[in-house]
Amino acid sequence: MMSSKPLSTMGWIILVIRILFGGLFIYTSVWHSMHAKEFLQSIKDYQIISGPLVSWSGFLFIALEAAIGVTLVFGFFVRQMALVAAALLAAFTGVIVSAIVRKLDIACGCGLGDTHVGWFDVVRDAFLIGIALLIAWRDGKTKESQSEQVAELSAAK
Amino acid sequence: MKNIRAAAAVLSYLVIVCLAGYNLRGQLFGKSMSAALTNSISSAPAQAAPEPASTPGAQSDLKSQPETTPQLAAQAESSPKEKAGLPTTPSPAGKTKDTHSQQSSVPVAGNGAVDVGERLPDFLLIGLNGNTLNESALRGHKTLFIIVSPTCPHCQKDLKLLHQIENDYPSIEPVYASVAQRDQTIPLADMTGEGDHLYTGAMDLARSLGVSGVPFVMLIDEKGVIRLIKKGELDEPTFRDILGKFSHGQPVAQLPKIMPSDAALTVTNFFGEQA
Repeated sequence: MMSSKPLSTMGWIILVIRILFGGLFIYTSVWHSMHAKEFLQSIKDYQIISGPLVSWSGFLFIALEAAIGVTLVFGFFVRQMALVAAALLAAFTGVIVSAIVRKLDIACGCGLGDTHVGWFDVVRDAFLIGIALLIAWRDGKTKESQSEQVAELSAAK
Repeated sequence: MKNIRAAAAVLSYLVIVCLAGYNLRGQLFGKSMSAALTNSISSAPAQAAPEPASTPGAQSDLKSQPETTPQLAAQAESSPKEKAGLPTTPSPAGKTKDTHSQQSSVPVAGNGAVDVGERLPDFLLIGLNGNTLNESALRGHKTLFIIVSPTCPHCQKDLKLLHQIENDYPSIEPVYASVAQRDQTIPLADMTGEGDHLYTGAMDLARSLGVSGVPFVMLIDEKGVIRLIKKGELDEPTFRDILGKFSHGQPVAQLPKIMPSDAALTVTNFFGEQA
């Protein structure tokens, strides 16, 4: 059985951030599920997609949010899912910017206070993208050090 | 340990996705599935039971039309079950029927058409003061439902007029559904004083009902069934006549369908141009 090094202080901080970040995604996915109609209305209000695409994209969005949240909280596919989260947040930021540019006075639909779209949402999303990238980078580093540890153990044997 | 974590993760994910799927089932699978379900539920009693007595209003609605529209004729010919399922003012015996079973037999408007005797498809409107309104919220009271556009002069006139007279009909709840965005609708609220009754987000509903011009006036009864449809601007005597009768539960005669020549005078398309 592979021996694992105790977590460093930085490791603990990243673990807490990862669980909080995943928890945030779980919370928003549950909020979107509970307020499904309002969420679909928000998607429509962005005037990017319409028709039956709205409901299916809403459902897929919730499913993706839940997948990101659950895997990050439980520690599976951390690096991949953190990158997916960053990509999703980047796409969402682009949509918000397009709404601001088009001067749409609409609800964000983010599930976080249900504010009207504005530059605050862009800054918040940029911050979250940073966290997602930090988690992905740190998980990559941890994996590398684990691989090195395994290699050292194999060489010692 | 890892297996337990994996099981907990999968379980949590399934719970959230199932919750989303459950809450979105109507939107994901559309009207066809719910209509099929409704038909399967309502077809047996509709075949077995004799045609229930329609409300005086519904009867007069159908009879008083000088011309039966092709749509109505097609409906009458092709779907006698639906006709049989028209909502009724409960007779003393009929009062024992639960409202759900009555509701399930009411045809749902949509797919580009709406007619008297149907109920509105599910929708979600957002009020200017942030409240939301959906189809089920129309139940339990009479509603004057008008689809409007802020750039339509006829809508502006109608709403100004209704602002003056609506207090005379307290049993009727006014709902003015704007096809425009919130920021475009606010001036209409300022102009007419109807901010409390103005909602946005009605474009999808308007498309679903095949509304090509505004104002599009509907009177909807306590069961959510449309009792009158009128396209175009109405004058004060007409409003007072239909609202007075409707508030007292009297039959409201369906006004003649607007003719193309009249339409040019009183109907505006969504962009504020006269049709």
